[in-house]
Amino acid sequence: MKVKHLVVSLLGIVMLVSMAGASLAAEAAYPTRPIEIVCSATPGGGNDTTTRAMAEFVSRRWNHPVTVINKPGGATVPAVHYALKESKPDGYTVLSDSHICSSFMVAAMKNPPVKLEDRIFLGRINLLPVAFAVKTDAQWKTFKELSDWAKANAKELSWGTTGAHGTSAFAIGEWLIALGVNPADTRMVTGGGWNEASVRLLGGHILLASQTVAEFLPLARAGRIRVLAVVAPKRNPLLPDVPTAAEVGYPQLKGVDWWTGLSLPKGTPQHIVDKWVKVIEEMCKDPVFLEKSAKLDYGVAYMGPKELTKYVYEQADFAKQLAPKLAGAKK
Amino acid sequence: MEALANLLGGFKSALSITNLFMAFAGTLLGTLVGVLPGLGPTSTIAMLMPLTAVLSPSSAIIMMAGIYYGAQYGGSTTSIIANIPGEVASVPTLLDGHPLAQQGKAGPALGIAAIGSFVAGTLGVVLLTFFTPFLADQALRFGPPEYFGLMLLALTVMVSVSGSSIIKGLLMGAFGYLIALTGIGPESGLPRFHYGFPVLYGGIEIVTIAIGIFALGELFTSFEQGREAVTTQKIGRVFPNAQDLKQTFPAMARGGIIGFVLGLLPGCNPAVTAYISYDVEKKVSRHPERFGHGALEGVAAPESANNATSSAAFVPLLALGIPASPALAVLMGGFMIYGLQPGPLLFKTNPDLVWTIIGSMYIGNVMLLVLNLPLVGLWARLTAVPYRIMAPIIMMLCLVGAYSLRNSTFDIVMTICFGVVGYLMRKYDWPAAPVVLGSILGPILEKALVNSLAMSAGNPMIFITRPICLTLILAACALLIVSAQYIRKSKRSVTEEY
Repeated sequence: MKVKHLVVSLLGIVMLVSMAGASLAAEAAYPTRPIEIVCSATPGGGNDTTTRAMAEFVSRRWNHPVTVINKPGGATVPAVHYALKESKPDGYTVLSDSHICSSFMVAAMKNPPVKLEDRIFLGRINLLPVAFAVKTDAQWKTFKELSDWAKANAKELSWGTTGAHGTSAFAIGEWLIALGVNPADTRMVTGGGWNEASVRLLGGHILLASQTVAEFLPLARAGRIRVLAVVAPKRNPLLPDVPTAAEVGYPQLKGVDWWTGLSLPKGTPQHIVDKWVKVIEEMCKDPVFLEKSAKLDYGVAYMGPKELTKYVYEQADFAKQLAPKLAGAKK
Repeated sequence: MEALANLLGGFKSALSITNLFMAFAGTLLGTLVGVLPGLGPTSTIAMLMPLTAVLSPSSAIIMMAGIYYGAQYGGSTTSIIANIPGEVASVPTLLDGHPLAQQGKAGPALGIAAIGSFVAGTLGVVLLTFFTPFLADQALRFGPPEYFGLMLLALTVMVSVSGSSIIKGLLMGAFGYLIALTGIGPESGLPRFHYGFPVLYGGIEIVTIAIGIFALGELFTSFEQGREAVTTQKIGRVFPNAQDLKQTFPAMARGGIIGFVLGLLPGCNPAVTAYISYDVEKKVSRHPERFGHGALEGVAAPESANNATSSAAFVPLLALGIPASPALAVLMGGFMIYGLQPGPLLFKTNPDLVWTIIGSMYIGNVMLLVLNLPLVGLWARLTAVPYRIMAPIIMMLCLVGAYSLRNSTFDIVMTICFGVVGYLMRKYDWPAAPVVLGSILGPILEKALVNSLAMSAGNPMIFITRPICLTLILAACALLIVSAQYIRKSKRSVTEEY
């Protein structure tokens, strides 16, 4: 009997050890299948371009296929839901996260289908500040002139945004509220993409547009638009001559950041999370990646998982305060 | 004349061996992705972006541009031979293209599509060469109210694609619009009709409607009728003859001009231009009753319009740095990787590059014609292949195409549902083209209306005080009256006949 006991317990130990070994092996074995990064934008936009650059880097670094799949539309809900709720938390489906996918979504919707708590933020990669621009032949030469005019003529002010809860709607909303103007009194013109707002600004169909410095760059360099101010702590290297809002007398404006990063669904094993955190950190120091991002005008501004989580929650609080006061909220 | 001298310089570098090869590779690849439904030039160009690390700027951009305009050529193939619209802009093509294939005339239809694409594509590049900065500024005058007027004008097309009954056509148009209402609303930014399904926040993809109703609906109907193949007629000549060319040339020219002009407007869907040019041909034709039953002009006009639109879209890109479609946005990324900023300054800072690319577009269009014409015979023979072989292939193309739109299995389910809808519509004689038209125009019209009223703070006078907008609205009214009279006339002729 004792021998039998011994054999059984020995077998048990062997099994335990081999299981532990197997799980260790499984840990070491990630990734074994192709990884997909889910992008919430159509191919070609800023979010897509940066996501592809990330995929390229990770693929090269791990010597493993990493592909980008686009699930555009629906105010990013289909993409975010697919990556964080419908997919297994096994590290093979990664979300290309952004302000639209996170803080804006939870601020804009009463009952967002995906919450901030449903994800693990892995790191922020790009950051661009938002600027305000008018047509070159417009009457306003400075941000102050525009602000004063807007205060007196709120009902005349027409401005463009991608959507009622788009980047521009929050940026211009914050500015109007700071001026003491109710955004609902102004004329908000919503449109498909950033290019539509640019076209409308150039054609004189709207008076003001608010987009990232990268999006304004070609038209600003060509002298077709006048960028009045950038809402950021310091001037942006892409448009070094444009003053910050604080410089011209509006230090209370926090501004809306356009950012991209990567996230995994809640419940993803820690060793996979760590692997991603590490590769993102390496990516943001990699000279080839940095050079490519610079050429595409997408500023790299790394932020680790802890800081990013804190940052997004702060951004979400800020957006939640603004959302009920925005122009789209009255209807 | 300066443009001419520049263009000659551009030709010189576009004709170098490397650039010729790049144009060939791009157009070949473009044709292939164009033929496959769903897979469009956008993802292809995006996937090839890493190649920019090894190629020179002009070579890489010539190739990417080739993929972009080459894809427009291929789009007609599946529409004509299997009734599969690879993108919505191909729907008008299949209205007459597929009936032609069923009559054993897939060859001439495909040939005319290729030649029309060439004529209009080249016409588009010529206009692009000489008028780019001027045209880009003109297009800017189109704001939301003008788009509203244009979409009203486009709505009148509903009458001519309604088939036997206008009432049925309008009902189907409204059905299409209702489907398209799903998703995020344009002004509120809040989801509509999602019933708690996150996937419905993204709305219903119009291509799934088109593929389902046309391709699967047709397939189900042919099962029921026990048809052996797309055509059981003897396949006659595969190339269009001189008579066909003479008959369709005016349609190509008109389609090309309409496509180019409307293609300059970034907010105008290429499908809208294809539908409008189809409608124009039907209106100017002496035998409008042939349309829908295999009129070659009905293939020539929308195919030409498609290709002219793709050339026209380069105007806002090169002149203003504004991409009109996702595919061009990816292409713009290609410029930027090399530190080149598309926009007003590009003509000044890198004239050689711009003119080389424009030069290569002339060459690329010729290559596409040479590439596509020999394939016509091969494609045409596919229509005689029995359904027991073709049906699974068609089915697979439809479902893979639907999936690749948004990488979503939901779109596959929707396509099959619309296939059943399409089958029932065929069985009980309800017209299909208005469903797609309604689902395209509805959202654009709604957005334009909401935006116009936002611009004027709710004052509807904005539609009357802006001259371009007013002209378009008046033109829409006039067209409606013309269409109403045309219906009356055709009704009378029908009663006289029987």
